[in-house]
Amino acid sequence: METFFAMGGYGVYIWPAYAVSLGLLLVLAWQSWRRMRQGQRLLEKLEAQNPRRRRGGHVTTSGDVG
Amino acid sequence: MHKFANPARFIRLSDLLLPWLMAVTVILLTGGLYMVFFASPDDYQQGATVRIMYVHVPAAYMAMLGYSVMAVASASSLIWKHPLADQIARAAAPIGAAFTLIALITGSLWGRPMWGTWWVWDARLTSVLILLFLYLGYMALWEAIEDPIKAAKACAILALVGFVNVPIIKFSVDWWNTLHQPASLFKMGGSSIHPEMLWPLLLMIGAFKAYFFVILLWRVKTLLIGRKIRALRMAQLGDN
Repeated sequence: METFFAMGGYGVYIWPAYAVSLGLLLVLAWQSWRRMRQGQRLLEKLEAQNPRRRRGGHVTTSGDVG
Repeated sequence: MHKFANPARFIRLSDLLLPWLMAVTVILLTGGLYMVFFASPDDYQQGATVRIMYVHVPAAYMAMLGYSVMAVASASSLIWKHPLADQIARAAAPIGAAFTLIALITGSLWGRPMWGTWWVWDARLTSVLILLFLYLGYMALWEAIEDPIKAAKACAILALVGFVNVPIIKFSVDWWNTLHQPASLFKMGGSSIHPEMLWPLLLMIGAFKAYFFVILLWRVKTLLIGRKIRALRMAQLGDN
């Protein structure tokens, strides 16, 4: 087990390389996901306040963003 | 092709793809990491440090692929005024920047034990650092220009001008003297890597690629939702 973590003396380079890489990817994924959810929630709230524009499903939405 | 340019259709299609892409990311990453640490040999010259390759090479590859996606989307935005192109380019930038940063950090952690230095100002390392600045500059430009149409145009031009850097990165190890080793995976006449090292490398590349598209779809969706929110708010203001 100890030899596994030592990686032939190069563990001090190998483990930080993987920790930083996976850490950065996780932070980016978490941030992207959170912002998407926040947007979805806000949109639902706005659409509930403004029911006139809700009808027609994707027909109106495509008009809005196209 | 223009069918998919419809944002509502794009969101439905990505919602269909996302669970699969997420599953592929997790499976390939798990398998890849298992092979890296338990089923791949040490290098006869570089010892265990070769394990850094399995995250460094895929990250560097994704850094360039990310920029290529951004450049192609920017070109479609300028030429065909494709309604989704700006969002795709904008969504790709932070993911590409993250992969570039990973490539630089892991390269530095690999360079220290193998070259005896964290950093050299040679063509490969410098051009990748420039790639990071291009990504960051592109992201800053989007924030800096308020009018979305002007911002999209300026950013697309910046992305296209910066694209000259991508072939420079790719061929820098052939054109200039460098400590960096030349390509062994993506080269004419096939790869020169032993299968026991090739498989974990391919799995990690696949995992990073699937991850890239998961985050890309999330971020494009976020941008489309943001546009809809702005449109709704404008309509509400108009009503009052």
